[in-house]
Amino acid sequence: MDCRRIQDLIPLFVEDDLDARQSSLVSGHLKSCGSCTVVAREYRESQRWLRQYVPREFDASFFEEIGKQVRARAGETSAATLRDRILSRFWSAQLAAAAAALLVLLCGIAFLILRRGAKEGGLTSALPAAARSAGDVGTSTDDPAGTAGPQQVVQTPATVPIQRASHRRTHKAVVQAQAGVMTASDIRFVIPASMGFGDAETAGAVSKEPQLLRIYIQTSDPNVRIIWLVPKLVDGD
Amino acid sequence: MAGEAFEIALMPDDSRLREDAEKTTDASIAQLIERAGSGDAAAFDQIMICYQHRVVGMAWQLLGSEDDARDAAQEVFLRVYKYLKSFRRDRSFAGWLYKISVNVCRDIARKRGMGCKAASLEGELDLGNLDGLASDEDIEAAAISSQQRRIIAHAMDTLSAKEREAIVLRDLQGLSTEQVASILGSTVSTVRSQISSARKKIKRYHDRLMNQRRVR
Repeated sequence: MDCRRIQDLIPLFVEDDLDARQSSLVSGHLKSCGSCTVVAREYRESQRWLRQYVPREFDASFFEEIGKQVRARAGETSAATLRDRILSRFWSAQLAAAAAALLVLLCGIAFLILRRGAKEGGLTSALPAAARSAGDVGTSTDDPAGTAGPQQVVQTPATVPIQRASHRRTHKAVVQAQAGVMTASDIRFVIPASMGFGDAETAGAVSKEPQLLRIYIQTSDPNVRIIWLVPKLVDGD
Repeated sequence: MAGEAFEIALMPDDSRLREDAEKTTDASIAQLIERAGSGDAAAFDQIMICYQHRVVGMAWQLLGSEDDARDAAQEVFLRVYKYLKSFRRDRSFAGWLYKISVNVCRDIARKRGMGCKAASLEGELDLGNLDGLASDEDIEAAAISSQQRRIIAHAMDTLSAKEREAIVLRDLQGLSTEQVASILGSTVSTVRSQISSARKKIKRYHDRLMNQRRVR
């Protein structure tokens, strides 16, 4: 091996940083090469010189100061850790409470929405049964016995499809009819023009009969029509 | 609370504790670590006393300033205190400590914008230290060694940050190349290359110095 290659290895050789094979190569070369031996000696000297790079002897107060500072900062760290732990517990409790409140609120909103939907969609189908239970449903529109309240002609009472009332005023009419408090003036007010008095008017819904008016009310459910027999109001009454 | 217990147990002037710590063997270090990890402040104090000279010395060699070395040592032991619980017992504590020390020194060097080079060695020859010396010979010796340190510090300044870290750990702290590689998170061959390069630079500086002295 040439001197240049050996001199590249000498910095590591002087401190035993080479593997055994390289170390023996360098060692063998140094036995026969004066210039490389000088280089190796110089490296050893510079390494010895480098090892003088040690700090002066620090006195006890220097280390006491370090210990004091570490203790103080460690105490702060412990306190901060405890504070963080308490805060995190507090915040987790707060967070849980907020989450619970939010859940309750959402449940309430959902309940209201569902209830409103059920009212709007379910009343038309509920009407016949409700009306029937009140004993106000007549099977014949010609039956004069039903003069005390509204009568219905239920075309398919057993399987009334659930339909959502799309028209609010119709819904109101249905509700009022169900409650049995509807008056003739109310009807005029709540029945939409499209539904109006329907064929009752064309057929003389305001009947010419002396005692009763027959009013047809078509609800949003095509299967349900309300027929209301109302005592005729005579001018001057 | 752990912090309070820590303050009570660690009396700075507790010389008995210091003597005990100096007698601490490698075998008992593991016990100390175990105890300190479970909140025993006295055990942590013993660990600190055992390693403080090594940590301060290495920080001084990396940063070249007494103040920086003190700051670094404080930070190192604080990190040890904070993370001792997460220290894996199957690993070398000294290696872990060196790793923390190197990282802290890098942080400090970065903050001071000096890239792990000696800031200055002024103040090394402070009069307070010389006053405590017994004789004129002592003063002269202290002055010479202080001068020597300054010269070597200049030589160390010729090294890159990586070379400096490698040579401080290998040649001044006496760790093996494998240990140095582990601490620096590098490979053995890279560390060897850095050490070789650093030694060449140091020798070049030393040769120049010797030549100048011969000329005078």
